[in-house]
Amino acid sequence: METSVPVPSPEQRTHEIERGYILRYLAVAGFKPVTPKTLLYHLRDVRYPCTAATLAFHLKYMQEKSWVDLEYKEVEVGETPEILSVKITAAGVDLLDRRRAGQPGVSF
Amino acid sequence: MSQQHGAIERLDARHKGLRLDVDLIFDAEGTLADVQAMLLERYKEQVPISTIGSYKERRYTPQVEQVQKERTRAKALKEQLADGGLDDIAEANIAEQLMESRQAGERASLQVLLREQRERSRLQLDRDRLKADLVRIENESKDLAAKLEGLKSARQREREQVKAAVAGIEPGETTGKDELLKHIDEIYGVYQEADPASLPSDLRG
Repeated sequence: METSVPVPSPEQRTHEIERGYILRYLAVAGFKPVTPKTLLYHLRDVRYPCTAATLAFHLKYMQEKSWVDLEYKEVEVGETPEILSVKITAAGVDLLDRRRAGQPGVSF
Repeated sequence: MSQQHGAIERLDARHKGLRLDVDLIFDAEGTLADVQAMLLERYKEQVPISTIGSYKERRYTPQVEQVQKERTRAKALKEQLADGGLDDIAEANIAEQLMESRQAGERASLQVLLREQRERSRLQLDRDRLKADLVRIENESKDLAAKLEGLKSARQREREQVKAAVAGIEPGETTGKDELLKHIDEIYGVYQEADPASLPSDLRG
């Protein structure tokens, strides 16, 4: 039986797809860190290019969801912390597996 | 990889996320028929098995292999560059440089990778040294503040001792005691302003 879920806006859908491709790449990297720039190149490869700011938003969102761990560059006081690297967590792998298994209602 | 858009890419332009769903099924080792069923059920698109097979062969597999190849190469280079002495962040940086070279259509040079890695290590050392200096300065500053506080306390104690000694002067010596107290206050900065009425006429405001 199909579960009723709200229909996302085109922008939300694009963001969800971008997060899906990010998680897929991180899963290939295993539990090793990946630089944000690498993810930007990968998104370009899969024809979902996004800006560094959008990527930073995705990574922080995914961190809030506990799907990824972020490491920040050391900055001087008052400067905006910049993401140094990102790696997938066990929760991120589980989510990807549930989505791969075609479970309804699982979104990135 | 060819930049020509295939049938699945064209469908993805119409149904955002369709290609990701196809890729996820292949990731889970799903069959061409699984993908066909999903496309029909979820997107109401009837796609021939041959089209799905062509996408898998020409797009999905090369792309997955490319990612795996770059990760493996980054790991191998990390080992080669510093006899395994580099950390995972170094490996991540190498992977990034490999991707950057590929996207720029260049061949990544081992010498360039080595030079960049050395530069990163040098910057890291500089950063560590600066951090150590900062900690040392902070500690010295704390020591100085503690010493200053000690001096202030000692001075306060001396003042109290002098005042206590003066307070012990006999009642008959009142005039001398007041003058002495005023003198002490002047020395220690607790001087009370004189009553203007008591000042000479040329000094009154």
